[in-house]
Amino acid sequence: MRSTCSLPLCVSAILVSASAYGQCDADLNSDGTVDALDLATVLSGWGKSAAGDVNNDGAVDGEDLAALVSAWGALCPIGQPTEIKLACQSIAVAPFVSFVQTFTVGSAVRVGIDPALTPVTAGGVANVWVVANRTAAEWATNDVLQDVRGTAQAITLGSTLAQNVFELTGGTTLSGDGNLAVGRGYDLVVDINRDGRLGAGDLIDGGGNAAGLWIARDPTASGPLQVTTLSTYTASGATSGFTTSRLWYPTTIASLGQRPLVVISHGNGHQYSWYDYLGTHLASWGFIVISHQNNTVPGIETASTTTLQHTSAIIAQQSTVAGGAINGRIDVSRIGWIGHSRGGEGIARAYDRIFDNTYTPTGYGLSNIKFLCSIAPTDFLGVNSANPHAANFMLLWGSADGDVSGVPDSTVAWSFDLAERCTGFRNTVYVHGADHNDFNCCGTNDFQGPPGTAISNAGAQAVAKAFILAALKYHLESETALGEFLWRPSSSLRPPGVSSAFTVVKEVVPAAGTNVRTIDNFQTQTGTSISSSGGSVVSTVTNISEAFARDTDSTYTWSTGNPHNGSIRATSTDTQRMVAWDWSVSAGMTWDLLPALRDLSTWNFVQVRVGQGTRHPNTVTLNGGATFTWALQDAQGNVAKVSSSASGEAINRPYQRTGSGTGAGWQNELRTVQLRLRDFKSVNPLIDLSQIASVRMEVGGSSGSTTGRFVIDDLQFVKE
Amino acid sequence: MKRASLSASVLAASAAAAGIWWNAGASAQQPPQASQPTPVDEVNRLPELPKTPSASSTGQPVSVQWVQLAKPYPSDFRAERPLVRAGWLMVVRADSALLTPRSLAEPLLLAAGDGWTASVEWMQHGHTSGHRVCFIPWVDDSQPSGSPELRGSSESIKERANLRGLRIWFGTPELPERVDAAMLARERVLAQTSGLQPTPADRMPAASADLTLADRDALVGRMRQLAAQWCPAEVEAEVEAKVEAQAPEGAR
Repeated sequence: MRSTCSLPLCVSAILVSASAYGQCDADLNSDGTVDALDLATVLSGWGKSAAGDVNNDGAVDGEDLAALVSAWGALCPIGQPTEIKLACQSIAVAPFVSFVQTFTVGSAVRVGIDPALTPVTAGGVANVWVVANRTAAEWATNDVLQDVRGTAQAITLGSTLAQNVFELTGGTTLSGDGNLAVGRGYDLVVDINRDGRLGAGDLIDGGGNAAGLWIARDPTASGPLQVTTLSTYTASGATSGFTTSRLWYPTTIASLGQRPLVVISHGNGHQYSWYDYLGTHLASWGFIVISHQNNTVPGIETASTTTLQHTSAIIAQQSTVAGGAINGRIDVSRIGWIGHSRGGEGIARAYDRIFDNTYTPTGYGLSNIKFLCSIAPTDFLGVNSANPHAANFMLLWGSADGDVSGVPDSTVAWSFDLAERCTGFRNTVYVHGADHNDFNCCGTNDFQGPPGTAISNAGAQAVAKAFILAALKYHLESETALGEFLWRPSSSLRPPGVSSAFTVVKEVVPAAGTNVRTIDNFQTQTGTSISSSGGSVVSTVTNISEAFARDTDSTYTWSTGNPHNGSIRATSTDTQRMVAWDWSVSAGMTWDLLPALRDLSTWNFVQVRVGQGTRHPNTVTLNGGATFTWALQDAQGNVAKVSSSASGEAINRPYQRTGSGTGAGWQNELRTVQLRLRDFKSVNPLIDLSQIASVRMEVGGSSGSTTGRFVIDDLQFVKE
Repeated sequence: MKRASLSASVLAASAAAAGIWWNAGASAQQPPQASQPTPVDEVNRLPELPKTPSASSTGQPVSVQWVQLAKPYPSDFRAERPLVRAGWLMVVRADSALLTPRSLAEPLLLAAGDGWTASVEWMQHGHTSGHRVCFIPWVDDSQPSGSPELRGSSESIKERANLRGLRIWFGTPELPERVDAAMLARERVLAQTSGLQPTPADRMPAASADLTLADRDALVGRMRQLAAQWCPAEVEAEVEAKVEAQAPEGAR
């Protein structure tokens, strides 16, 4: 509304409209306060389209004067815009918002603004902009906001977080087309002063180089590239009888620059031609992929040799294979190995042989192997030989595997061992209802599980395509947003091509480093009253056992003499330790943080790996998912509590497979439960994250499931 | 749908340089559909592993041929990796349950004769046909490990490797690459105490004419020929050349 009255007679008539704007719109010189200097600007611009236009309506008039008078004396932010997570999902439990980065195409994207963290004026109107991702340098030189949707979105701010959650209009139509990237990045801006520029007082998610919001295409879907397949070629230098391999590559590779190499090593009794689904899929997303004959019959050593040989061979022969189409196109600095079954152990052994200097490959070295993925691997060789060391490692395994089955009386069948040995970044994807040969096209059906739970080849291969692609993109192409597929629970982020009915249990353990603060990994200070980080631990739970993650009686029948029943993560020569305990009343475990560890103000997440204890009476009684409550307490005694449900679905009970004793429930399945630390501020603004004295897991009563038994490991704080 | 066998003809051993390739559009697969759990109950068709060794865990030779190699090779089926220059090329018939591929330890395929015991080499499992093509390498364990049998003439070596009293059996489940001389000695004793009997003389097939081959590559080639004859379903499929020019699966 434009006033035609002249200064100063019309102020009272139009004051009513002043409240429609943020107070700090009137801080025209951005000096942090609305004062006489700003009044002077309004007066000097009176009647013109000039500085002093508080409401940005194109003219300096009585409305601008009224807004300024209304905001007189307001204190306003100065300097840089505030970098803060804005992209979020609505969730059913407090804090009712989960701030995340990655969304799939077509899903609702929301913006959340927490007044407890970033004071805003209730009733004020701001504009939300979805901007194509800019680097920090680009933002520094171009602060003009341009919305990919065409126009910005006006929002009216409230006084609470719940009141400040807004679904992006057109968010479901945001493109995920990142060319070869699975996702496309955007920066979110809340333009408080509505000046169409990023500036002081504004909020931004993505002000650095990384995008704040990622829209990801379905990783189960084929990528944008046509694929050429060379059905067979002969690898020079490979073991006699195992020289044949298959190659997939993007048809337009000549225009793509160098691309990462992926090598697939099959299992015993399998064939190199059984992985077309995976080779084609990965090549359509820009990878050069081979699947080779693998010498698995004699054992793991010979299998590892063929992996090593074929990797060298394709590098050496790239000028001749496929008529030279991939000549010079293999990025030797980025190699991923995928192995299935004995091939899965074989790639770990191959990595170990290079690590131990007992094998020197031609054409590449240890540092070039950026990722290992073992699918249902065996563990014949143990910790000294089947060891991925500090590689980025992923384990993919099905709960209904009737071959590498996870039986308690054969450590060869304990696929988890390899993951637990890894000291690099490691993640596990454990799929209910998938069996061993679901991950290739043509092996014997080995399903072992309750009727009606089989997900068969199609389901398992969808999982494989999605998570292997996500991991390859994450590790080999630095597509960091795809990492969220590896650790966010399915209820929070699920590849659309993977059924929502599937139970996919994910755990992730980041590599030790400056971005990880481990409070307790149970590897040292092995008493139950002290954590590995040296702080005291107080428990009111029952039947605590801190011990090797090892089932010791070769059966899954519960026994008090085998407190880690169902744990198949450490053979007799492994050292992985965990804690297990149960409850049937309100109880908890509290870890005190040493003073040097208490400042969490720059940390992003608290997380823990947790699973239900196999066939324990409490697990049987609970007969379903388990929840607990996180509690942080600061040095002043302020407590903030958030349910584990805020992270996603409940901690599932073990797959209800029978055998290996009485009862139902297969091995312990751990999942990573991760929560943003800012969520604790949202539920209790008084909590001081710079002085967190303790972290507690509360169970029973109103804190979560009434009864249960947990197996726990790796309580950590993590930076994003 | 799982396929336990492949319809195939012999894949050329060196299809390499010519190679055959095809272009598949990114949309070669069906558009992704969220897969639902199958309503059809699936059951484990992996047969239970019989106890081995036992009196019945035997193999019956159906084809026998003495082979000498001009160039020795190290055997992957022994921990010592002894060099091998000669041996018996055989096709063995056995119970499919003993031949079924398994990721965990499989029963060792072993052979013993008059004064010798061997870890038998093989490449294809044989479970669909009941036949396994294998090679019994002649390794004289009295020689230093890595030394090929060089003493004596070809005929005298063949005589020492004679098939009198031949036993072919499935022993303790283990990785062949871990088998050493001591383990072979133990397995021989186990076989005897399990009641394993030698192949009756009247069930021994007549040996084919002796064969001289250049090296292991040639031996592998001969084994593949036998596999095509006795267990064609297990020979890796020969893939037809296909050229499909399909557009990528749309911009998303």
